[in-house]
Amino acid sequence: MAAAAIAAALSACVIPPSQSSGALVATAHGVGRRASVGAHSAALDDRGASVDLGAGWIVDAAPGRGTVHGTYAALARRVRGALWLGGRAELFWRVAPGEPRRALVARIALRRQLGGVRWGSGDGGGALGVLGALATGVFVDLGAHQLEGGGADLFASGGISLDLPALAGASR
Amino acid sequence: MTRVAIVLVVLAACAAPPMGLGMGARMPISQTEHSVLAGSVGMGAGPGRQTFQAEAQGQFAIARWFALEMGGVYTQLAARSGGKEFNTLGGFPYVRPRFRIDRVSIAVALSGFGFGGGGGGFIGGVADAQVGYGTGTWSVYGGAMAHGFELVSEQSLETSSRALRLGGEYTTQVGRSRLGIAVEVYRQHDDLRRGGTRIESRFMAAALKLSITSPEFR
Repeated sequence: MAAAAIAAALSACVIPPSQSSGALVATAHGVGRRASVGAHSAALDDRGASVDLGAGWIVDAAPGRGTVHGTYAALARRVRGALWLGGRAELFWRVAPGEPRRALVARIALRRQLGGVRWGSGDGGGALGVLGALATGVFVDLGAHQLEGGGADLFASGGISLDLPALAGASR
Repeated sequence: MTRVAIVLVVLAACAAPPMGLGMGARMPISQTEHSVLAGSVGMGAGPGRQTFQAEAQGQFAIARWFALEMGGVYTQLAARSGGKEFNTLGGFPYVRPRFRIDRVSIAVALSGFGFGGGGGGFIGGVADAQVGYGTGTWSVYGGAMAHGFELVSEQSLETSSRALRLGGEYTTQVGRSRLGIAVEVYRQHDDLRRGGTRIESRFMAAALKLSITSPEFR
């Protein structure tokens, strides 16, 4: 009862700095789709980052097999101007034979930071803050899936990405 | 009753043993009353299993000999044995005091929670201790972790894990941040049960963790 009263009186939320992406993927069996959303350090840097470490969720759908869901870790470095090079490691969960279990991906991207924000406001009733970057990007991925039960396939994909800043709020 | 069931279903997903709580034994803060923010992501592999872990934390240097780390860790695990597969995930917030003597530090992390009512309930917790030697750039460390989780409902779930780990990390300055890489090896004993499925195993595993640390700020 006391815990419920505290929870009702105080609420807070944190949305991490994020990168979302959508892409078309070409495999030996046809054209499918890939999408991901995750927390990324570059989206927290309002002055323009030169390195990005991220992790999140990914969905991969291709003809001839089911849709698989997984998690990824991504590391990228800005090489020059808007050009970034990076890589991803992906683990997929609850997969059936013939579906991807793991993947390694190399990425080349053009990322354009549209703006940075560092803002906060608060009073006795609550507080709200926003920190990070708004950025868009286009990318090309080359990767390989390790399939459950043995075997592998290669794929190439191209897509767009959107970086959004972190947001934190609390109210009494 | 529906709300209790929903809560139990959601929290049934808090059972995966983490690959330790907190990061290595590096000393990222040079002055008291300064702080850093850090994030890490790791992937581990052992016989018949794979683990993914993401972590975010803040570290606050309260005195020359004492720092406090607060963070949260998310873990996802798939274990396979004898044709059975066990998938689960977990999330733990934690507080981790770190005591320093020159370049040697001891950190102890605790996390736990529980809930009961309506014919069901759960309890879970993690304890983690680490001893390490570190500079501002690198560290080596050893640790021990114990994890337990039990959910009582129509579909019971029980997991427990004990692990010893050895690790090393190295960081390099990239822009204003420090980028780090850590390699850890584990000797682990897991007992995972869901309904009629049980996987118990003792094994050696290894993990690779990448981290990024913000500049110091006051």
